[in-house]
Parts: sequence; structure tokens; C-alpha cells
Amino acid sequence: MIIKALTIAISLSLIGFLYQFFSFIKTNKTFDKKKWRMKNLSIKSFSLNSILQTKLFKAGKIRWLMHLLVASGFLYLVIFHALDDVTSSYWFQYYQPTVDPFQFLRNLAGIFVLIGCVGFLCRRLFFFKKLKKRKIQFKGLFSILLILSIILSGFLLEAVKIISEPVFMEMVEEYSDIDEGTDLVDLKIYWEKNYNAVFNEPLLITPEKLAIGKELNENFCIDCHSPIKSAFISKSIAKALKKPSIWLNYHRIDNLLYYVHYFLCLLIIVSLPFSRLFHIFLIPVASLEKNLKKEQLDQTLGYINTATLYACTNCGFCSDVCSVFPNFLITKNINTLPHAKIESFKKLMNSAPVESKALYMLQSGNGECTYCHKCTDICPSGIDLQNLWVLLNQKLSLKGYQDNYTFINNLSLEKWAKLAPEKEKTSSTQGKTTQLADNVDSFENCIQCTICTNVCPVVEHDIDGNDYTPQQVLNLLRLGKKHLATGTRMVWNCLTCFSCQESCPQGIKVADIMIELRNNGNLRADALKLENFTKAT
Amino acid sequence: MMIQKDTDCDVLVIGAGMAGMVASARASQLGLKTIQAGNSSALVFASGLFDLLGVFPIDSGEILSKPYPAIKKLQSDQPDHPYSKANQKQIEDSFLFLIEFLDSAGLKYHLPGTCNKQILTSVGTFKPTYIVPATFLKGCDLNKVGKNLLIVDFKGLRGFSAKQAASGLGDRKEKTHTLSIDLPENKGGLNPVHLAKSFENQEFIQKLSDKILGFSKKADIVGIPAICGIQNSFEIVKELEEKTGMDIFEIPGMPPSIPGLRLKNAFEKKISDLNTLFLSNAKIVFNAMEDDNFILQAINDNFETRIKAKCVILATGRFLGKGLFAQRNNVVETIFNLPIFQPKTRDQWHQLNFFDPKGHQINQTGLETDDTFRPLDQTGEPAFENLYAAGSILAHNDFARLKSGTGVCCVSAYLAVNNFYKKSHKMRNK
Amino acid sequence: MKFAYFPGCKIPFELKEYGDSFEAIMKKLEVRLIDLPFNCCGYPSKNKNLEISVLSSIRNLALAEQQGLDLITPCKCCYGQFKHAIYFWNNRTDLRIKINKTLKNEGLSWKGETQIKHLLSFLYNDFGLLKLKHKITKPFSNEKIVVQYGCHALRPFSITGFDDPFAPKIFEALVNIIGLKNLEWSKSTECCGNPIYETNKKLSLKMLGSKLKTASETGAAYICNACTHCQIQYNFMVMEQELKKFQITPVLFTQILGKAMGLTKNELGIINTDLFNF
Repeated sequence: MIIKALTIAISLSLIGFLYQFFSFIKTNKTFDKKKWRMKNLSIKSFSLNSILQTKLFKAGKIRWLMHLLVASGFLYLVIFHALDDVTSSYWFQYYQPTVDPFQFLRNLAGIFVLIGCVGFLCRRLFFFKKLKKRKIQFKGLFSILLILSIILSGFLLEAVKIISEPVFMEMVEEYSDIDEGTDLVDLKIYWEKNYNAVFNEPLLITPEKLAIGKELNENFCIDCHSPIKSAFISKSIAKALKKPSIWLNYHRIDNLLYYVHYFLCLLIIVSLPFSRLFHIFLIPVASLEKNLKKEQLDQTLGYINTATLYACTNCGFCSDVCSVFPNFLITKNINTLPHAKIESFKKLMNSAPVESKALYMLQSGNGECTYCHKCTDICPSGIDLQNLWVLLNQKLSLKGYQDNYTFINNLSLEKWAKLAPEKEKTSSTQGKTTQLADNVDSFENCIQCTICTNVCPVVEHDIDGNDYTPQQVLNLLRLGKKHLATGTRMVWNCLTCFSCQESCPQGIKVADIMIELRNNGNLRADALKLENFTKAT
Repeated sequence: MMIQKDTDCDVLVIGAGMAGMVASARASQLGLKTIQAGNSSALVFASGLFDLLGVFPIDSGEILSKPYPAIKKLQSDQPDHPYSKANQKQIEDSFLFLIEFLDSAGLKYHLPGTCNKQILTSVGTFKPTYIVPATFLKGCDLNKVGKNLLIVDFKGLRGFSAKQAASGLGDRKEKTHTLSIDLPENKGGLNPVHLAKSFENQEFIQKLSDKILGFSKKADIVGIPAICGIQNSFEIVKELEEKTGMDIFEIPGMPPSIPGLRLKNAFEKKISDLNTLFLSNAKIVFNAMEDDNFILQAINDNFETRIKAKCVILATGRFLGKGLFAQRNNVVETIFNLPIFQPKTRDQWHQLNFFDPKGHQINQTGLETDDTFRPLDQTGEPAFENLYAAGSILAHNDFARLKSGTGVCCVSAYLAVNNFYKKSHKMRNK
Repeated sequence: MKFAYFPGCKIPFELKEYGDSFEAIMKKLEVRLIDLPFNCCGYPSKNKNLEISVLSSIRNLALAEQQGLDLITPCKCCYGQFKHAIYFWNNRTDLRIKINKTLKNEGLSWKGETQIKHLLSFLYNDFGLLKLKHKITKPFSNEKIVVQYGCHALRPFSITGFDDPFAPKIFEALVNIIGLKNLEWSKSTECCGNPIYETNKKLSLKMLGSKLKTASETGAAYICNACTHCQIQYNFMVMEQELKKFQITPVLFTQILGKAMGLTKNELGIINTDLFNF
């Protein structure tokens, strides 16, 4: 039955793997552009990051240590303990689970994993405030708790087995030729004293009996049972279980725990392709690809390896170092930060219908990205985040979510003029602009001398696209047509080189006004988009 | 927190128009440590012509052909006029200084003789002036030039029409042709500065020359708007002459004026080379006197410069330049609050007729000074030992009607600096 | 001398050589650079939302002030942005209150003591030309060069106070000290076009073309930049057929200074070995 269960679990897991694999491939086709070039694979970064977690080491030493404890411990346990029938028994002639060094190592591995998991949980607790500020949610709780419960059930199982009289009796029957009699009692005595076993009947311990018991132990038991002190965790737990031991033995809790322990392991196998633990396979995949250099950006335009999206472990390092954190502080748009963007990107790739407003917020947040590469540098999973943000822009643009420059540029000036806000509420723009264009003092001294127009390099070179020149834009303000001014090509092509402002004989802040008009245009465009996309939902 | 810098100097020139630039240039050249504060864009309104005296007396409307005899008469009739504080040699020296300074900056002006020149303007009028840029020279006194003339304009260049300019010449024995050049790549209006920059492009010069060559049999001399390049205008005009085989001269037009921009660039570059500190767009506030020094603050948006100056040259201009400020009933001087010579009441500022031959009294307002160009206080004594005033802020000079603008700027600025220099070094004048 | 090093967002990914050469020359000049967890200076946000751009700069200043350090940056856009932010922080009470409150939540504050410096103004005003000249061990031999002043540091003078906005001379003085001959170039103070590259590529490259044409016509072999964005813009010339033809090479000031101080091409991040005949 156990084998059957195992087979089912592994099959389910494999099906899960395949399902994920195909869903990644399917979503890859969304762009349908250039193919990936083999020469961008990096075996070096793959091996360094997969085996040694070098990127995590650079990002945070303590976290790396905790992760190393969990990873190494769990890996040991999977290979040498869970699969011992095909590994340890095969490689080592003398292998038994209760034999040193395996008994010791199993306990050690278990405690490693325990410390690591507790470390993870503690971090969440201590940095709760900081994480809350960046709205980094805790995902992966299921996986950590699952692993913890496997370890704890394992320790408990071992402890309960240690104290178990029924198990002792089973062992005696199978592996020795001791019948009921003094030998048995002597062995029991020896085992009670040295192996923490607990027996129903009270035993009288004498040195002679101990000596006989020891001899019997050496004959029948010691080949497979190393001294209990190497199971340093389980033996301590066993000691603590002495009181309820009778009850535990009577109800054969050891069997129950065995099934629990086994079942939890099956659970982890089945859930592997769908839980955070999938990162074990995905991070190597993500680390296999070198992060794109600037020159390569247009070579892979459109290609996305969806598997890398799922390699994200929600560790939050990316948002920790994000250059546009202040933008998030003001706009409160969580989609400014990388850890949220990648989640949103996953939703987008799933082809599940996403709310228009959510997509707008995603486009707006992603628009703040300065492509500084800090998130990509630090990502412990080796995901090429910056490439993702470039692709995200394109994908959203194809869906009709564009930056404001394109949005306004595509409208004619007449159309834009009609989209004027009904009543200009200065309170809504206050703080967000320099407030020059609303203040008549800023531009009433303009004598329309055209010096600003004459020194403007945009006017000089942009013979096709020019609609209003700088002094004409100022004139629009004098005519009370501020909203129209915010839609002119001049305002959006302005280089902010300040030649006009420096040369103005009347000291008018021409360039500052241009920037503010663009500011106003952005605010108006954002408000319009929000209206549209909220209506559409 | 405002960043504060402390500095000191020999001369602080307040103003970056014509007078301010001449003062700054002269002071730096003399080796005085100079700081200049102001906005130099006013020069972009200048036509590039330097007037000395074009009309005198004002109500006669008589255009002068020889300025110096008229100046002598002006000095005796109007001892308050700025020219009365200089003799002919000093006036000549000041212009010589100006021309040499500009020449060292690569901007060539023609050395004056004793006569005014008549310059054809873009609107077809003739303007008397004293010194012209070298590129204007061949077009002086066109009515006396017995040559067939071609005037060129550019389609879209506002304020310049070849036909209108030509109309000023009236009927001539010689022929006057016009040519309108169409640059198809320029839709909409042409901006003078951008058009001038095209002249630095060889292909453009060739294209232009080819078009003008079409008239090589019909005309000997060509007048072109004053937009032949911003730098190296003299070389560009020469090149056009070589390519077309005709004489070429520039015609001044409406602002923004390229010859004015050339002046601005030349002054800025050379003054910077002489290590003058230029505080662009700084607002000057006078704090106090400390011993014999002026303590002032040059306030920019993001920082302040506290200046200790031995001498201040006030060249802040009139109303546009904000050296003078017109309140409801009187005019005030904006930095030192010096007394201003002005009509007693507001209704005396203007005549009813805008074109009244006498001109308007408001244009005579300004600072009165002693013989060394130091502005006076209420008692009629110099307000400060080392405060000098120069340029259009000076009283008794209706420069628009007298055609004396640049002359007064140049002479007063040059002599003001010299006077301070003489006083501080007790050296004899050259 | 110690400074907090502010590279800006563009150096790490798009112009690593500028960061490398900057750090190399600072090390040679015995100026210590400290890395702090800075955020973006706020320049890209300036025309979207004034609050964001000012908060960004002030937050960086606050981070530096915490360590008692001034900031130094090799990017002129960042420099100009910081200066603007300081101006708005000083003059807009409503903004200042909001920013101070936001910073206080993180335990940060800026009292106005820390300042921002640019590489060029630092070398010219604080370090000194004479002291710099002593560090030049391998001066150039009068090769011809023109300098791209870069708008955002130069203008508006009222905000940046960097140099004379019409007849600047800091850059030329520094370049001449290194043994190069600076030529007059009409477009030296004109914008390179980079601010609109993302939104209006055609116009941006047209401006670049005009600059390259006039610069190469002066006979100069190099255009010298001291701004990340300017250099990125000039580097586009190798990608465009129309622009490749101009016989002029854009170089970074830090690289020419580094070479003149005897640094190797590896230290200066120069990949193209033809440059300066390394």
C-alpha cells in the first residue's frame, strides 16, 4: 500500500511538472518573435548560483546561511534517508538508519533544516514593519510549514520509536534468538539504561544484569544500533516522552507517526510543482540564462521564458534596492516595485482576464522604472528582471496601455482640448507641479520677443513636428488656454535644456513652465486613463 | 538653505546691456578684478549699428551728416547731456576701444571717419548711424551708390521684405531687383537664429550662391538680411562674394537681431576670457557701505553671492532693463534709490501727439551725474564716492530721437571706468 | 577627502565604463568614495510629479547627511536635478513639510548641510587646477578636442551656479591641463538630444547628427563628455548608419584624465584599445 501511495504521489507530481512545463511553453508563444540564441547560456552562473547560491550570498549573508542549512539538510535527508533503500543501502554495506554516522547525520540534517526554517520565520517577524512598508507579502508559508512538520514528525517518530516496547519486541523476535527469560530481561535492562527504551514492567537494574545485557547487545543489536547519544535530538525528545510513554506505546503511536511522516513527504512531492518549492528547479533554469547586456536588448525582444517568472521566491530583495522606492512612497502604487510587478506579470501571462484598472496601474508603475539594473543584480533566483520590465512595457503597449507621451501624441490638439477638465481644481494638482502656469505673474511680462524660440534647439531641428513655438505656448497662457498648451508638441518635445529660460530678457521661467505644462498634461492624462479603465471594468 | 558665497572685487558692473558690457570689457582690460551681474539678452534687440548722434536738434528733425560739429553744439546747448562730460578725443577713444575689443573677439566693425552713414533698413527707411559692422559696409549710403542692386529676402522670415526694403530707394537711375528665396524644407515661419545657423553649412552657401548668381548680369551689388551666420559672419559674406562675384552687404532687420546676437556672443566670450565673473540673472541688493567699500548681495534663485566692491558701475538700463521703475506718479531708481531727474507731475510725462517733434519728457528722465559720471544725490553732490552710472539710465538723453544710444552707452561706460581707474591709480590719461 | 558616491541609474547598466573610470581617477586623486543605498535622483519623474522628483533627491541627501558626507556625481542630469530639488525644498513650504514627514517615517531628515557636487566643479573649485596638474604624469600632446558642456549642469545658472552659462570655461580649463587642445565649437553648449531619445528618437538623432557634423568640421578628433546621458547619446552614433561616418570619437572626461594620470585601460573600462593608443 505504501508503495502504491508512493507511485501515485510521484505520478501526480510528474503530471504536475508536465502541466507547468506546458503552460510555460504555451505562454512563451505570446510574442512570437525572435528565437533565443544558445550562446547566451552561462554554465558558470548556472552552477555557481544553483549549487552555491552565490547571488543570495551577495544579497544577504545570514539569509544565505539559513537557506544553506535548510537546503543542505533537506538534500541530505532526501538522498540518504528518504531514498535509503536505493542509495545508502546500496552504497554502504553496513548501512542501517540507526547506525552511525547516519543516525548522527540524520539528526544533524534535521536540526539544520529546523534552524533554517525557524530563521526564515523569525526574519518575517523582525522585519515585519519594513516589509509591510513595501507591501511584501509572505508567500511560501505553506512550504516552510510543510518542511517543518516533516522534520518535527520525523524527530517525533524517531523519539517514539526509541521508547517503544512493541518495536523492541518486534526487533528481538526478528533479529535475535532470545526467548522469554532472563536474557530478555537483561537485554531490556541494558536497553532501558542505554537506549532510552521504556518498558511496561519495572526492571531491577543490577551491574551483573547490565553486563549480560551488554553482551547480548553486542551479539545481536550493536551491528545495527549505534549508541543513542548520536541521535542527540531524538534522544532528548524521547526522554521528555517518558511520562506518556505507556499510552504512546499502547496505542502504537509510532505507526501513526510513521504514516503521518510518510504522508507529509508524499504531500511535498505532489505539491512540488505548484508550491514555492518549485524554485528548486526553476532557479537553475533562470540562472542558466545570462542577464542581458544593453547591446542585446533588441535581440531577444519579445522572448520570455515564463519559467523564470515562477522562479521568484518572493524574497523581496529586489524591492529593497529598487531605485524608485520614493515614487512608490508618493503614488502608493505597489506596481512600482519589482516584487509586485513580477506577480502581476504572472497574472498577465496566464491569459486570465485581468481588470483594466489593474493593468493601467501596472503600466503606470512599470513606467517609473529607470532600468538601473539593481533588482536584476541582486535577485537571488537569477531572474533577468530588467528584461522583464522592458517586455512588460511592450506587452502592455500592445494591449493598449501606453505611456502618456504616446497617448497625447496620438490625439489631435482639438481632441485634447475637448478633454479639458470641467473645473480646474488646483488642489488636485497642488504639490505635484511648480504652479507657475496658474500664476499670472509668471508670464505677464512676456513681450513676445521670440528670443526663446530662436535659441530653442527643438524648434531648430524639428521642422516637421513643430506646432507651437515656446513664445507661442507662453501666449496661449496669456490667452487663458492652459489646457490647450499642455497638449502641444512643443511641451512634449521640450528637452528641458533651459536655453530659453537663460536667455529670456524678462526673466521668465520659460523652461520651468514647459515642464509644468507637461506635468499638468501627465496628470490630466492619468486622470482620463483612470476614468476610462475604471469604467471598462 | 541658500548657499552663500563671499567674494570681493575692484569693480562690480550692474547690467549686461551695451553700457554694462563696455564697462566690463574696459575694467577687465585694465586689469581690474571685475564682477558683472545682469541679463545680456537685451543686446539681441540691438541692430548692430553704433549711433553717435544722428539728429540734432530733436525738433528740427534734421538728419546729421557730420556728428562732431553737432556734438559741439549739443554740449553748449545742453550741458546736462552725457556727451557734455567728454571731449571729442575721449569719444573717439571710447569707440576705438569698443571696435578693437570686438575685433579681438572676432567681430569686425568698420573704423569710423567723420561722417555719419545712411543705412537702408528692412522696412525701407534710411537710418543715420556712425559705425557699422564690416558686413554692412558696402551697403552704406546706397542712394549715392551708382550700382545695380539686388535685394534678397527669405520666404517666411518675418519682418523682412525685399520689396519693402527696395521701396525706400524710390526711383533710381540704376535698377533695383528683388529676389525671394524659398527654402522648401522650412514649413511655417523661419526663425532668424536658426536661419543664420544654416549659413555655417557649406551646402547651404552653395545653394544660396547659385540662386543669387542668376542675377549676376543684372546686378553688381546684393543686399541680404543680416543673418549671414552667427560666428564668422565676415568670412561667410566674403565667401558668398567669391562664389557670386558680386559685392554683398547685410541689411539690418527686426529683432531678434543677429548682429545683436553677434555682439552678445563676442562680449561674453572675451569678458569670460579676461576672467570676469558673470552672474547671469542675479538680482542686486545694496546692503551698506563698509569703510569705502560697497557691500551688496547678488541673489540668484538657489544661491547668493555677497560682494564687497570698491567701485560700482550702474548700467541697469531704463524701464525694460528695470534700472528705472515707473510707479503711479513718479519714477524711481531700483537699486540705490537715487534721485531721478523727471517731470514734476505724471501728466507731463507724455505729449498728446505721439510723434510730437519735441519728443516726450519721460524719455529725458534718468540719473544726473557729475563730470566723471557719478550720479548725484539730492544735494547735487555725488551720492557715493565710487558709484558711477552709464548708459541709457542717464538723464537728458532721448536716444531714440537723437540717435545717440550706443554712443552714450559706450562713452559713459568707458569714461566711468577710466575715471575710477585714474582716481584709484592716480595715473594720467593716455 | 571623502564623498558619498552617487552614480545615478544609468551608469551600472548602460555606461559601466564611466563608473569604473570615475572610481579609478578618484582613487588616484586620493578621494575616498563611499557607497550608500541611494535611490534615483528623481530627474525622470520631474515632468510627471514634482513631489516625487524632489523627494527622491532630498532622500538621497538625507542618506548622505546621516553619514556626514557630501555627494559627488559624474552625471550632470543628476547634478542639475539635485540643485532643482534643493531650490524647491527651500522655496515651497508645502512640499517641504510633506517631504520631511515622509522621510521621518524612515528615520531620515535633511537639514540642508549636505551638498551635491559634480566631478568637474569639484575638480575646478575644490580640488584645484594646480594640484591636479601635479597628478598628470602622461599629458597628451595637443590632440584636438571639443567639449560637450551638457545643459543640465550649465543652465539655469540661477539654480546650478555651475559656470558662466554663455561663455563657460571650467571644462576647457580642465581639458587643457591634461594636454589636449580645446577648439572653439559653436554647439558646445547646446543640448545633445538625449532627453527625448525614448519619446522622439527621430528628432533626438537629428540633433545628434547636427552636433557630430559641426564638431567634426572643427577638426577635432574627440568630443569630451562629463555626463552619463551625453555620452550615452553620442554612443548611439555607432548604431546609426547616418552618424557612423563622422570622423570624431566621443570620450569620457574621466577616461582622458585617467590616461593622463597613468592609469591602465582596464582600470578605465576602455574596451576599444584603439582609443588613445593604449
